[in-house]
Amino acid sequence: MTTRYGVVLMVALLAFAACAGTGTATPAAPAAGTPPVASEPGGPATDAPSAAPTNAASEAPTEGASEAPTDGATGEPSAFDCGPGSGDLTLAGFSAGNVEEGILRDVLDSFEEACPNYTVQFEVIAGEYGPVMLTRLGSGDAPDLFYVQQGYSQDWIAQGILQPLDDRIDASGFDLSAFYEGYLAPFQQDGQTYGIPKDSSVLGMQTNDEMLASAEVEIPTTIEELEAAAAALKESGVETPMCFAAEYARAGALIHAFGGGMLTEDRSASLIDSPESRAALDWYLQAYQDGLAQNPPQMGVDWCGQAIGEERVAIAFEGNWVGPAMSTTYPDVAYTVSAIPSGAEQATLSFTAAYAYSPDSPNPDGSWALLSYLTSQQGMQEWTNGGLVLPSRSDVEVQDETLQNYAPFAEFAYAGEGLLPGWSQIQDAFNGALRNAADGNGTTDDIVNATVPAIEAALAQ
Amino acid sequence: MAGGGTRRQSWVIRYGSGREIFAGYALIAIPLVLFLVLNIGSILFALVISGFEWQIRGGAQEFLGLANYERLLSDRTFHKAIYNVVTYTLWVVPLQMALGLLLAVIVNAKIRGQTFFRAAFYFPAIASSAAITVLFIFIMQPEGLFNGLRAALGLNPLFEALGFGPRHSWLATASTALGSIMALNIWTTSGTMMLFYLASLQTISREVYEAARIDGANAWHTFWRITFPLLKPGHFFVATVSVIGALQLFDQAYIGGGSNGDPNFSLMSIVLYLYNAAFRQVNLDYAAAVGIVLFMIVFGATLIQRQLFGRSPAW
Repeated sequence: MTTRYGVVLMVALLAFAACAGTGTATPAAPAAGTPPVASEPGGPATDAPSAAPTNAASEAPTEGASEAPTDGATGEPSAFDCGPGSGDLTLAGFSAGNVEEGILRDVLDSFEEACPNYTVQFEVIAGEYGPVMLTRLGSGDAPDLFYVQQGYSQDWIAQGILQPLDDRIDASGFDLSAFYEGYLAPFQQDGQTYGIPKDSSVLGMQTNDEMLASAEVEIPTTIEELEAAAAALKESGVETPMCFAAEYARAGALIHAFGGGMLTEDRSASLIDSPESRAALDWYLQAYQDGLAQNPPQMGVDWCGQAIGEERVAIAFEGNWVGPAMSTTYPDVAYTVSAIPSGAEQATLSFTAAYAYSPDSPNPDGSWALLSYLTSQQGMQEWTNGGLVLPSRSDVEVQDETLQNYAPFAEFAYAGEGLLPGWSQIQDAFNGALRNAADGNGTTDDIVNATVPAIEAALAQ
Repeated sequence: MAGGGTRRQSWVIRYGSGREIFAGYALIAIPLVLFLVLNIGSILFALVISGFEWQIRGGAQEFLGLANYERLLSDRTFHKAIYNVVTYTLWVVPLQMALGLLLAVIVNAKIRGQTFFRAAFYFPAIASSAAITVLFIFIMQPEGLFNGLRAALGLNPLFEALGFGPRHSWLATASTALGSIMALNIWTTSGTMMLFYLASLQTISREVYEAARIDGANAWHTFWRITFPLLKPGHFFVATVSVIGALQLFDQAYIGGGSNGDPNFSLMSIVLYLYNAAFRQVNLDYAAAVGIVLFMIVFGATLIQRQLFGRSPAW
């Protein structure tokens, strides 16, 4: 009898241990802000591309950012329609660093000035933004407005936690046509818009002035010129001319330049198995093989921005977030920003986050008032004058000198992620296979064969 | 007369134990209810969720039956996760136990500075696994301490023969990433295992050792004939806790390889896969199915261990 109870008790204990996670591995999320160093250390990559300027910003407290925001706001505010509501609003977002939070606070202050019926609090979600917000939104504990990152926007829309905005947009005459299409697409599903992009970042090409000059190489503008430049740099003694990150969020820009891509334009079929995409992958892998390019882990660096900053490579393909990193950490390295070399077409990738609110929003009028102010021409002008990120609207002027180099790329930018629910699976499959191939353990076929089933699974969902 | 006495006695025991059971349950009622609701209850709820298409805000949408399980069992990444975790468990558990036992025996011996060693060996276990993992990543970098140390010690020809260059990036290479994480965890958890073994070691009566000494047994024989077999309940407990922990590998893999277990899923574990399903793909019903499968694996492994170590543990 006692043994029977003992057995029951022990089984219960073990079940408890199984659930509670005794022993070696507690299934607790890692501490806030712990960098997953080996894989996505720069931050800007897959997990939080639009958070990257954020990280960079926190390292760049002396950037022109802090004094910039005032001049945009001083322009006579055009009469903004605040709607009928009033109340105290909460805007939730991921941790932004002091500089960015300061700029945001200034913009929120001007909203309060334009709409005196409202006050706004900015609430920083510490730790893992996505999981925390998901559980909050799922349980109906919704802030009035929050950030939605592009990478998982489609998944969130599919979960019904984002309020469709079309009725509001129609009723208020909000002009969506000012937004670049590639920036809106990740926040739209079946013709409905669920979020408005708050700003953007795009990829460009960074070249080291001195290394190019000493190899007597001009800045390449086409894929052929890029290849020739890399070969000449190698000849002149640069051990690794280019930094090629083994992930779609970077390689995708060159795949698009070849005329390929991950998905067809209407997002209804795979494009990674097209001859153009395959040609791009062949070319990318060949560069690794010929020693013209290396993956950041192969060089022992965290990301390509570090590789160009430490002058390990002469050419990198990174986003505008390298600006603050270069000017603070590597101020002596002279570099030039140009468009990603063109092949069949001129292309790049864009990353953004949107403002959105939940169907459970306690104050929908207020949510919409704040959202439409922050994404209006006036609000976004003030926000981007901070000098951290690019606007997502074509009618907002870019003031910051470094950012001005990147601004024209928006015209030919494709969304770098978040095109379908289940995007993270597609991306993981692609990145895993590409990384293996970069190490010499795989071919273009392997990458395509790993990615296509993930695309099919996502399309079937 | 004798018969009556027995009956009376058993009545007393039954009556007494009945009240004792009641009092016992009354005393543990609150934690028991919490346990039933929060643990058993959520396991059962996860089972329900896994059978439906489940939205985080809208709840159940459509009955799926076993569709999630079918998809799960045919998913290549999940196969990879199972393979990784089983490989990990088969290496880590025996080595962890052996190292833990070794440390426990050393610390249990009457040596100078016993307390110091006990604390020193246990130290890695109390340091945050996130912090240790981040440190470990730096150590295993191409320019890191480990590569520097083996060069300084002149071990590089040996590593060269095994196929590792002088600047090998241990965590960034698919073939060595999991092995590196195994080494990390064997080291960090051996202290905990040592503590469990130490507790068991101290339950072994000194008289047994004295008797063995009188019989002329040397230290080697004493360990294998007396200490090791008498530690059986200790082995069972340590092995069970260790296997459960190993099957739930998450934080080191997540910090070392990011959410997709880079490079190329070499650090993908079952819990990491579950995390991805729930929080990156926002596929809660699928994630619940992963959880149920993991529960069954852990439960099955525990039952098998019970069979291996005998039916009634001595505690």
